[in-house]
Amino acid sequence: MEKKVFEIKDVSYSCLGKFPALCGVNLEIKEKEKIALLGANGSGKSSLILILNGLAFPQKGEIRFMGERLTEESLEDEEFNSFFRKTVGLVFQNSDIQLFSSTVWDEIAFGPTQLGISKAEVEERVNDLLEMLDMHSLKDRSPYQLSGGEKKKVAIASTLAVNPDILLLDEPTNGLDPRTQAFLMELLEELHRSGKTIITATHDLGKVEKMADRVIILGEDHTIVTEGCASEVLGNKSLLLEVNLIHEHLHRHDDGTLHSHEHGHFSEHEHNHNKYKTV
Amino acid sequence: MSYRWLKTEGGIAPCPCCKIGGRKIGFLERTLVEVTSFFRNGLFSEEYAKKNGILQRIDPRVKILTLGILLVAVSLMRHLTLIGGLYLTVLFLAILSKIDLKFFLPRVWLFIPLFSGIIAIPALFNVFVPGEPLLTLITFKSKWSVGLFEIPKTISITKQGLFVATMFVMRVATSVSLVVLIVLTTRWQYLLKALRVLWVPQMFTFIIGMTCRYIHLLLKLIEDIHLAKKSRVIKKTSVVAGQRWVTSQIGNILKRSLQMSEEVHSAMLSRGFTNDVRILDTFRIKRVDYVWAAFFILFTSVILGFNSILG
Amino acid sequence: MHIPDGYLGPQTYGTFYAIMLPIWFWASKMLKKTLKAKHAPYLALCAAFSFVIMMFNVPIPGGSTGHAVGGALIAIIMGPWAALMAISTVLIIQALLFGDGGITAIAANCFNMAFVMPFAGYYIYRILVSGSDAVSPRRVFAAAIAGYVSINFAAFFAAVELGIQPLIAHTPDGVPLYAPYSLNVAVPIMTFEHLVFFGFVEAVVTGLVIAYIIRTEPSLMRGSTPSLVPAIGKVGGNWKKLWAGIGVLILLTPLGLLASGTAWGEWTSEGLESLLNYVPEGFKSLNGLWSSFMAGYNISGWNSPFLSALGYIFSAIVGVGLIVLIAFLISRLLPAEGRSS
Ligand SMILES: Nc1ncnc2c1ncn2[C@@H]1O[C@H](COP(=O)(O)OP(=O)(O)O)[C@@H](O)[C@H]1O
Ligand SMILES: [Mg+2]
Repeated sequence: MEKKVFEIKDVSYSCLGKFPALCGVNLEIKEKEKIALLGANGSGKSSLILILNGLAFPQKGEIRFMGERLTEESLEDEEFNSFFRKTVGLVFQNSDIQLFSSTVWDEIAFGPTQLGISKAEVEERVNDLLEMLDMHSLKDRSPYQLSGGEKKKVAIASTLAVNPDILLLDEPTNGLDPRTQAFLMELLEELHRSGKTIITATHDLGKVEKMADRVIILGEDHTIVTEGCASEVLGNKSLLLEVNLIHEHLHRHDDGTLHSHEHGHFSEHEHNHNKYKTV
Repeated sequence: MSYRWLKTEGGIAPCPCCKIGGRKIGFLERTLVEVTSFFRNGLFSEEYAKKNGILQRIDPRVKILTLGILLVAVSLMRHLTLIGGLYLTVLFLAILSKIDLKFFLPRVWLFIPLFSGIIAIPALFNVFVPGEPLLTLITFKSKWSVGLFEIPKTISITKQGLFVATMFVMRVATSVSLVVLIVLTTRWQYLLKALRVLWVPQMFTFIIGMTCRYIHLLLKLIEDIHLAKKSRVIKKTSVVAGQRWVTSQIGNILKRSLQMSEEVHSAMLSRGFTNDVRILDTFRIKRVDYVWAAFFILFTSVILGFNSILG
Repeated sequence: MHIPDGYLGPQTYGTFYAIMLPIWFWASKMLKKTLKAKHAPYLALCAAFSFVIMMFNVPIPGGSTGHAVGGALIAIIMGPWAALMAISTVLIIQALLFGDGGITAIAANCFNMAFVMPFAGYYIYRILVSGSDAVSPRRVFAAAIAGYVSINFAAFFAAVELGIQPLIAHTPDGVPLYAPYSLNVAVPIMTFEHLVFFGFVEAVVTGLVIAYIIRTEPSLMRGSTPSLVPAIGKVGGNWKKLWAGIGVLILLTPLGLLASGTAWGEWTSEGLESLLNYVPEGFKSLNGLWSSFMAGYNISGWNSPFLSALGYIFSAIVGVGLIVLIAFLISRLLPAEGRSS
């Protein structure tokens, strides 16, 4: 039995105190789990991720990290803060927010440097990451001289540089080309095998099965609708329809028949029709 | 798509009004475009910072300290010859740093010195700087006064005026050349980190770097608004409506900036930022730096010595 | 209003570094204390905002357009101390990257545009709105007036700094070494364009942006965002120290001018003579005023040239003192709401 890293009890959270984002959420996350957080836009995935990273604090309920309560006060303790930040890393949904340094090199070095890791070690980590993500030629560029996908890669590198045991990723595959997406999926797989806990928020149904053993679905009412193993949850079409993760899709074929099927919003269209079709 | 208005019927209608290219880009529109492309293409081309010249090889900290002292020395000079000498030295350094003078001279002179030259023109005349006349232009019947100041009986270009104007323009040009030289031969991020030798706190240089980074983001936001506005403009709006529109955009950017600062704050916390920032640099003092510093100290003392001997 | 390198002599720009260093130090210490880790991104984004304000053209009747500096606007929304640091950051970036303003003149430029402008704007606004509701229309007018007056203040200071150059730095035969025009030329020219044009642009932008904020995000006007208008209330006790420090600096300024002058061989006794011969008529009468004022005390050695030098420095510094004094008095007189929001 692995130990629990996060315990979330009856957490409710609203943005700026008036826009509800999470309602009565209960959740336990164990070490070395691989979890996907599924939900339509606005269902509260990002909010939950921020709460898990100690960046937002629920108005109601409590969250514990390794048995310790996670609050603004507890994070003010230098030792706990440093331990928590070293253990939990987050790749933000918006890379423009996450990349605030002057150059790619500084950006990747920022985390480990703040956490007091020695200069030699930091330099080694940065160079290794640049190599791993094939970004050596970008190291002196400023974040605004990067394309969206490159920014995302730098954001991932800057989080990995801290070497967190628990990795939170908020829609990491958005804006990446298929090759980089595949690379990222493999990387996450590898990180998981090396003992890391991985929690990914996404609405990309096509990737979920590879990304997670356990799937948690947030509904548009900001509650957890269901959770379970990936194949089980993904098989439940009516549930996915209900939480707006897939939609019914109508199109007309050459022969005049109407065809209806469901698919996710962002996964690529996979049709297995006998006839060549025009829409 | 079921909205009545969201359709294109009968193809695109011909434009009833405009000749393309009929409207000139307004001055400030151009500024926005220029500043944006300036940031996008790297703060400077960095083309010169990567060359293998003298100043590029010197440690940025040593360079900033020495050329900074030289900048102060320029401001202390009281003799045209010395300033001229310093100007030639700067040009020589530019050549040694493999900077194309065809690029360097216009870049420097089109900035401030040309403007200062125009400002200095009136100072040639005895109206502003009294002295020995070199060339008399007009003679009035008597002197007269306009408001606060007096117009003398004869208007002439004076020896002192010529000195003042030349001295002023040369001093400005030499200072600007020095600053441009530092900036051209140093990559921006090293320049910022090296400011530490001037006792600028790391936190402050970090904030400067971050500001540049987010200036670019806000500029992109403005660009988008701007394009949106342009593609939506149908008829000329009134001044008041224009003012309202522009200020509401400023207000919007303001709100976005404040919101973004909260988000960036989270992102920094997430990676272990507390109250103070630590920034790594990879500077190393080499032999060439010692040689440069020794040469520089000698040179500056000689120049300052001359300045005080000449009185 | 950005003064380039070479316009100000070392006595002047050195003095402004001496004035600004403690102010910067104080401001960043205070912001760090009140905003904690948030101060870095907050200042960076505020600075980025103050930079891009200048990218917006406001149409002006008559078909032309102009852009605002935004010192008052930023101070009203973010508080004068954050505005001070944010605008200083922008001025440094402009000096390094765009050649707008000199490196040696950074402190002087920051004094005019990052210190005088936001503080003047902020306190004028606070006086005009004291007692009014956070979203009352009076705030819009107050903001417009604050914008207009503050930019004129800043321009005036810049003009004085330039105008005193021929008086304090010149060759032995009285020929100016730096900016060549004296006060009677520099001040009218610099202030005129701000009084009749840029002041109005600033007023329109400050007023209308505040109106927009009131309409769409009134919480910003109430200072309910914790980061807004931070420092003043919480460190109230330390205000005294700050003002005392500035006071001492102002008193020391003439000494600094004299001392640095002699150190660089600027003010030999002949130099002083010739300097004083160069002092324009206006100052001569001031000089007379001084002599009659001091005559009763009959201090030996206080001969007329020396007095007039003092008189001259005195008048150059009185402006600084007045601003600081007024700001101080206002900050004391303001209702508690103004100081703790
Ligand atoms: N900055 C914000 N201001 C107001 N409401 C917000 C803000 N951010 C998020 N919300 C609200 O919080 C809810 C959850 O948002 P979020 O966690 O970002 O969802 P997701 O990541 O699943 O798209 C949404 O309904 C949204 O309206
Ligand atoms: Mg989200």
